[in-house]
Amino acid sequence: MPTVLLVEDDDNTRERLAGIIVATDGLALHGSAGTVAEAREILGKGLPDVLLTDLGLPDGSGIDLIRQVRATGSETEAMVISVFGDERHVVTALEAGAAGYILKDGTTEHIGKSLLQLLDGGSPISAPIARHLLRRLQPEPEGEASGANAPQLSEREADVLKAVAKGFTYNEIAEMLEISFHTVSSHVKHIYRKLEVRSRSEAVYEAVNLGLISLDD
Amino acid sequence: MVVERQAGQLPYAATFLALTVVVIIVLAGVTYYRYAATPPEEAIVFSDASFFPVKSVRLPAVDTPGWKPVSLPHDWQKSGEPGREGWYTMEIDFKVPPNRLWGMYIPRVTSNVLAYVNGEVVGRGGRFRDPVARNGNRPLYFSIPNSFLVKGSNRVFLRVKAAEGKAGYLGPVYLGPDESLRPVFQRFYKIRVNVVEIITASLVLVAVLMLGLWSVRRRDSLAFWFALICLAWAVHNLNLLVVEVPVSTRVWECVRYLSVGWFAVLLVFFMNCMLGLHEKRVEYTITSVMLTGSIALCVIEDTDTFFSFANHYWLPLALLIGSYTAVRIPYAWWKSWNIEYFIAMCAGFPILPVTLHDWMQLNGYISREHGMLMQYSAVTVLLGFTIILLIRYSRALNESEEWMHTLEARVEEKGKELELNYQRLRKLEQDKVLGSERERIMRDMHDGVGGHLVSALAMTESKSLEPETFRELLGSALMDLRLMIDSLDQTEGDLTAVLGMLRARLQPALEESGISVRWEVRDIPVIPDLGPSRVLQIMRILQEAITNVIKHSRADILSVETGETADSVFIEIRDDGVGIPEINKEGRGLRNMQYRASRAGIGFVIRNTERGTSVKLDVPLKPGNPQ
Repeated sequence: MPTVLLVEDDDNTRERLAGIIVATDGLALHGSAGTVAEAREILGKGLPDVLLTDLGLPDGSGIDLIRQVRATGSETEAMVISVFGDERHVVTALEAGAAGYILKDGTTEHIGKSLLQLLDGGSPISAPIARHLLRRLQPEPEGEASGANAPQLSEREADVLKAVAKGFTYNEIAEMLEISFHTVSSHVKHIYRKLEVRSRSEAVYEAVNLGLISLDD
Repeated sequence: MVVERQAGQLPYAATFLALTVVVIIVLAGVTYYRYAATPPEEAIVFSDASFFPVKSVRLPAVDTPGWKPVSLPHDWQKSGEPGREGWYTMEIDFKVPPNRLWGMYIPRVTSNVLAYVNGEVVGRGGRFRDPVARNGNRPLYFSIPNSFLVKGSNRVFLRVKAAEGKAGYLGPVYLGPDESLRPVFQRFYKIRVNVVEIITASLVLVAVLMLGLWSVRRRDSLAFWFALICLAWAVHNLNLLVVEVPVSTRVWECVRYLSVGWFAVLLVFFMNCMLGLHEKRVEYTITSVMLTGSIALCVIEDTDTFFSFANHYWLPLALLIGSYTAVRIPYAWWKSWNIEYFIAMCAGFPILPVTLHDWMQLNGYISREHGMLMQYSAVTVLLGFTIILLIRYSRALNESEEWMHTLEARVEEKGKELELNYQRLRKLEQDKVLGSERERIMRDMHDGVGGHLVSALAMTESKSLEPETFRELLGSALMDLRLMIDSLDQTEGDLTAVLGMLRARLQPALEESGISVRWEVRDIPVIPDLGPSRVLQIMRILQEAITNVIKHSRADILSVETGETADSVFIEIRDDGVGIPEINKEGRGLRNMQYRASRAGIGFVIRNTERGTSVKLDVPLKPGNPQ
């Protein structure tokens, strides 16, 4: 059964979320931690299928944990626990390799559904995030500088994002585009991956520009 | 006496240096002149001769009565010769006749000479009829062919004729080998003729340049007066250079005397201009006196009277006027220590002694052996004036550069001031924007999340704490906080994005309620002035409307639709529920929505339709005046 590592410093929230995971059919708790150090200890023993982490932790940031997990090259997915699901926090997490977020006060049903959707190869998304991704990943006009060979949105992906930005649900989008719900959901996940790759290549591009690293080596 | 030194004054060291330079120039000039005038050593010098004061075209016989012995130099003025013509003769014995080319060198003669050796003509200084050639300023040299000089006695005859108004004069005459005598002649010719030519050419050139400068800058009267001085001087120098005058002696002499006299007058004008003196009376007096004198010079018919007047009245007057400047300029310098005055004083100083020298020589008070010297004093004058011009030029350059620097500094200062002002203004503007934004957020929090939290707090204090209502209140507070955060997102005037955000927030509640949603959001034009505040008000109204549908309408379907009219876009929320009871139409919730809409400058209509309720928001496309 897919396992979840839960990292959350608020005891009440952690208990509540752990309860939801345990109660959800098809999910098991890999472990739960209140700090980055604890989480690292658990990760050192074995990787979960999903890392569900808060960003602001007492001894560091959940972003570092996401990066750590993504760097192993394993199948482990990462998800962020957010209070508001606001653009800034979520995008930072997506760039680090997270594939979605859940709201702290989300309903039991919603949280469980999101986790399962993630394991099924799809990702949830909200309108402001979609708009941000459209801005970031849309093909740039000719001749403009960009990250070296940074991935860009396909036409279909752009259509999905535009619809999400207007408030349409995956089901409605699937109907409009005449594709399956699953396809819409996995489009979004692909888009998240592109954001991750792009942010990494942009970092490299910046570093080359700043002379921090050389591509000739 | 303590003299306060002002700007443009000369330090003592520089004064001394300048004086030394002038003295060195004068001494060098005098030394070179003396060297050039040195008589030849290897030549036979005739310092004695026989003189026959008779006008005769033919060689007079030596045994004719009337010959008298004279010593050379022979000044006719001193020996009181009455006429303008006469003959000299000398004799020389050769034991062995010279077998190379010889020459005869006559450094000084007034005004013309014709030379014979053993009855043959060896040379002449020019025309003998009046106006006779003027050689007073130039040495003469005649070659003597080998065959002319013989063994035994040789006789030399010289016919001399003075120009009108002049007394005849003959200095020592030299006879010697051409190779040693000619260089001595050439040396002296250079300084008596060539140098004067150069000086005169320079005077004319400077005059032209100064007149050019003056024509461009009429305020520079100094240049004008200096140009006139140079011209007068150049005219005077012509007398020294032209041998055969093209006009009558009378006219020629008149022009020459006028040039000297007016030279002195111009000096005064120049001086007054340089010193900035406004002595109109002095100028008028001098000008009128000299004008009168000029008329006299022009109209006197009798030649003797003319020369007598010119030499005894006109020239002394000019000398007197010139002396006035020679006193005035040093005095001005002593008063102000101005560098220009000092230079003018040094440069002009040599004029006075040489002019005096020339005048005394003209009147026979001193030996006439040296000839006129005034022309040479132009060297220091030209030099001095050039230095004055250079000083003025460099001072003007310095001043303009200083002005440029001052100007640049001022511009920079002003630029900095402007920059500072701009920064201050920008800071004020930022403060204002921040202030109004802070105020807005405070107001929005007070309207929304604050109010909910206060209610929740009040509920905990009352005895009737209903967990469900309490949960709802906290949920509302959290929802409002989320809407506020969403409203800060950059929607760029896109209302569909606002709807998208709103749906993400309300979807869980809608799903829970079981009402199916028809999301009929089409692309609509962007609203130009859709700031966070208006976005928040729109979201709150829509959230309230949708919450009302969930809570009260008992509807099955909720539809959200966007569209546009000519001058606005609209959002309409409809349900197929029970509609609003009449009692609630004036209720607090609706009034609140109405209030929010009017504050955001948005049209708000709520009405019961045939099948349920419709809430319609109209957002104008043109910038309105939201309160």
